[in-house]
Amino acid sequence: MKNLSGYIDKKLIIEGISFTLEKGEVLGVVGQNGAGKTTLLRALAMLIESKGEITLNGENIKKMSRIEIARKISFLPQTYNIFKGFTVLDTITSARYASSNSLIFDTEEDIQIALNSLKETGIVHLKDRYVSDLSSGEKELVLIARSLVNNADLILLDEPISHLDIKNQFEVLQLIKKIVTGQKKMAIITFHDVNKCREYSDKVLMMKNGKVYAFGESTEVLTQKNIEGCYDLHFKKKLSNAKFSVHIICGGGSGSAIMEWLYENYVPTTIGIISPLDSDYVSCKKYGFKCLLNDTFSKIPEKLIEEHKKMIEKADIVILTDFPVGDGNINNLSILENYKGKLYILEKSPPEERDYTSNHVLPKIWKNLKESAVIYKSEVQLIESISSNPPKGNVQ
Amino acid sequence: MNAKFKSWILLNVVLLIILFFSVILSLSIGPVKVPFWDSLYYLWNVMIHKSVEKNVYSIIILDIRLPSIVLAILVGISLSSSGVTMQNIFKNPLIDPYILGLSAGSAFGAALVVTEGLVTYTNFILLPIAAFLGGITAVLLVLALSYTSSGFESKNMIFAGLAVGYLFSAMVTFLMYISGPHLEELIYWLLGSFSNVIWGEIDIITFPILISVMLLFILSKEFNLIATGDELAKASGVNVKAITYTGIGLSTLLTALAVSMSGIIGFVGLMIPHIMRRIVGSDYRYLLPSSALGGAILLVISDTIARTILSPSEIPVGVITSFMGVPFFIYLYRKSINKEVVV
Repeated sequence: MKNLSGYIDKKLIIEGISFTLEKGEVLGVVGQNGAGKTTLLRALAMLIESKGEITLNGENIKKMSRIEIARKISFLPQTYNIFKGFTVLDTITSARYASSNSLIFDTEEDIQIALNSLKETGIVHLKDRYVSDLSSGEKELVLIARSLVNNADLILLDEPISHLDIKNQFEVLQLIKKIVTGQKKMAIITFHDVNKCREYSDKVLMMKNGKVYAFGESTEVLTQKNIEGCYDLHFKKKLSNAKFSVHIICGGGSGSAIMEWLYENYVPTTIGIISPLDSDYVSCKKYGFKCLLNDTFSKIPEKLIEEHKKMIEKADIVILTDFPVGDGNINNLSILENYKGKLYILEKSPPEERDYTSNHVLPKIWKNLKESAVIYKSEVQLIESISSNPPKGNVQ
Repeated sequence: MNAKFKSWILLNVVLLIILFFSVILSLSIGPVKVPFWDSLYYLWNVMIHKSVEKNVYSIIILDIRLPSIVLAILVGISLSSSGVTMQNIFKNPLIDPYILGLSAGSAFGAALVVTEGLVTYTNFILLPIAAFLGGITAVLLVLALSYTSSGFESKNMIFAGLAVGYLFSAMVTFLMYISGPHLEELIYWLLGSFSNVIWGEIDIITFPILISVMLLFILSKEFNLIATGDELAKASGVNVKAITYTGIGLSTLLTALAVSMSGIIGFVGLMIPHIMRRIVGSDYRYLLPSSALGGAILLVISDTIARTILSPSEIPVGVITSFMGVPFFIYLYRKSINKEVVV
């Protein structure tokens, strides 16, 4: 792709973007909200007006008809709110529109191909369920199965994991990786979470204000310097001689940035109960912080909760981040309900969006916790507040 | 052939049988009772031998009752096909041509040419054309009123439809007030009825209705993809804009043809698709033909009820369908407010 610019309602959203991708590779796209990640995908799928060149396997996409494009490029939107009353199999076969030989009803071939892609994504047992009754994770798998039926060379996924819990995030990304490397396809995925991007992408395109900030091999691009520059993370303020300790309750990568800063400033830090698969655990290990671990998705045992309570009481500040909460880790929050000390809450997204508990209790608990806490809308805010007014503590 | 397709064929066969018996029943019932077997006999003869002996029964059945039953079938097909299509395009199970004000718009268009005295038996075709223009105006108004940057929201569409419906109803009332000699003609037509229709009128609308429904059926795959979201449909290779406009145009045409012949008959396009969705799901390929048959059955039965309940006088069919449709709509709306699954 060369010099691509994308327009929405005649307004320039992305400008002069160029990159190349080889077969069997995953390209991760990261950048702040509004950097133009989604616009880039939509321009590539020819869903919006754009200027510049897009070639796929040597062919110019812009000279193709809509049907031809649909055969070569699969686009998976971020939200999937299908009208009610369509079964999973219906929606998969309907995606055969671009390649099917039949005008109205599905051929035997259409159905067979649809069933194969359901098998590949491991959801063949859902084939007769209505899509509207499925969970977000299952819907995402349906979308992926849908993208396989035309045997497209390029799959575009717009934040496929943003509505999923940690287990589903892992499964979906593993699956995409397997398909791309196994079938020599290409995938371009936008990520909200830089850590996830690092884990699953071969190449990374970093975007800022509609332009390329950095592009290249994942390890070369996702350096601390690039991330700070791209995301405007200027919390380099140094603390002189911190005398307090911090406990962070986090998950899904939401605590990593704060951990890094605390580490650089020699603040004694402990981390609340997280799972060994969590990207926050990776950061925690990296900085050598003490943390409590619990197996993914199993209920937290009573003993561990007691230990966690002690850890919280010991710290001078407790920071709670806005991670996705399910039945497995809701205890991490309810444990704070009787906490009397200093509580800082990092709230970048509303609780409704990351509530995976079976009886949807997160918004209520979150509201209660907020009453006795200080709320920060970004890491930068939180860190600035701590550094300009360091809490008193007993750390020597 | 898969199991789903087979059971769908079976469903349609059952619907056809029900339709057939409703027709025979409807032919037999009326101020003059015709024995059931005689109705069957005359209908059979006219269908197979194209001729039948003339007597009182055969005239009542074939020249008086059969035209209105055929009209009921055609209007039922039109209104429910129109409803299914609108619901799929706007991903909203709560709309139909009546709720969107489309019927009222068509009625206004038709009433305008009736009042102006422009409709005679020689240029009868003017009525459906005027109805179509009125209907399209109503649709465009509703779309303009309910459009937001995030698309067409369900509630907005319903409120805009109600408002536009009221506007056109008021204008029709105004026309009645100033219509002078045409008042009787206008009222009779507006109340919605299948009686007094002649074969000549049916000839005009049959072909366009069947062609429109066929065209909609051919576009089934496109409508299915549009129901999964406009952007996804576009990415799947569908020319979303063209298909949406075609769908709206054809649904409006179907409603206009129905309204121009039988006045305003509400809720058919809401009730039948809802019931059929429960049975066959939302897949347009299955939903459209079954809903068309269901709409025909509903109107043949409603017409029979309308003709017999206060016999010998006849109540408008629209009254019967509204008595059924209003509670139905309230039930659906309450369900959608409670955030339950609507279909």
